[in-house]
Amino acid sequence: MGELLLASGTVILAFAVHVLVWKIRLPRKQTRAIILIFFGVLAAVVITLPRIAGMLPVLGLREPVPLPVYLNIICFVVSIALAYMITYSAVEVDSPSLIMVLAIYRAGDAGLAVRHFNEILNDALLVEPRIRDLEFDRMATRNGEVYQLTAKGRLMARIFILHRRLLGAGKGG
Amino acid sequence: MTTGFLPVAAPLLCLMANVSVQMLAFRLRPEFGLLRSEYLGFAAGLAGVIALHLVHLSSVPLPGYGDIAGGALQSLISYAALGYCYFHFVNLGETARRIRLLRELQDGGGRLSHRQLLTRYNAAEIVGRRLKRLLGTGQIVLRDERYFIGNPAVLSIAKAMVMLKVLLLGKTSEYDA
Repeated sequence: MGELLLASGTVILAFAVHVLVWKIRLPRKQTRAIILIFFGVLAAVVITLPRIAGMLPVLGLREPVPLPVYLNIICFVVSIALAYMITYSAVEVDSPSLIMVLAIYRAGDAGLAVRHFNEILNDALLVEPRIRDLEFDRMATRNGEVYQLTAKGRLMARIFILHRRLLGAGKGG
Repeated sequence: MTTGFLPVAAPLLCLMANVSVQMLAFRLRPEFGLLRSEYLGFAAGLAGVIALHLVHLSSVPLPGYGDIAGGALQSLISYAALGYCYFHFVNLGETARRIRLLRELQDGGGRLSHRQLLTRYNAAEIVGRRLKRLLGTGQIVLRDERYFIGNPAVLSIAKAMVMLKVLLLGKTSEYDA
């Protein structure tokens, strides 16, 4: 149980640091900052684990701390950090389905006219920001009106193309 | 202490089982649907985590209940988090706009003009696909040329996301100033 408590404490501490940093100043590359914070806090806990085990006997960690305990804590924190990072992408970027549902909800009891709905949900709102993201994340470069994939963008595209092909699924989107 | 290498490896091994079962289920029975294949894969992995823990416990001197529960819970949470990551990976391929744009660029030989990109993928397609899903699942309804909220499940998720945005970013949408 001590391992679980320590691993959970590490996640809570990393989340607290993340919220604190966000309140002070929003990082430009938010996902990268989340990875740095979670992995930084994890590294600090792993390095000081023998000392934590000695200082907090209530955790019941044997000394010297066995290797599986280190691996268990790392596996737990990394899994949750990755899951949070993925969830955070939905915080950073508005999903089209949620935009659509919220637009209808805000229209109230009268509902939202189909014509008005189609006017709101245009390329400028749904596609242009994501094209700019490709540039920002260095997945594509822009030369005038032409976009070109970078090596990073090509790799990402190939990973998803391969996975969709293995599934036998279409393009998606 | 229940610690050994098997509980450490269990979440990763069972993630592989999850991925294999999900892919196989969708590949063999596409009519089963992507979401159901994801649930099936996740359930198979979950059963694997439990089975591996039982195998581990049968091979070591039995620890106290607290250690058994703690070790099992830790593995289950790690597996659930990894399973959640895979669930989102599959959904990124299915619905993410950035991934689709990357695919279009790749299919276009790595270079496309802004106009070509928007011809291949645009708001009309994005909205059309999602409307089909939302209407099909009853999340929204169409009556007299107007859309209304039907089943409020997606609306509840949308509200939760807005709350999280306010908490972390201090705004309700990426389009807010």
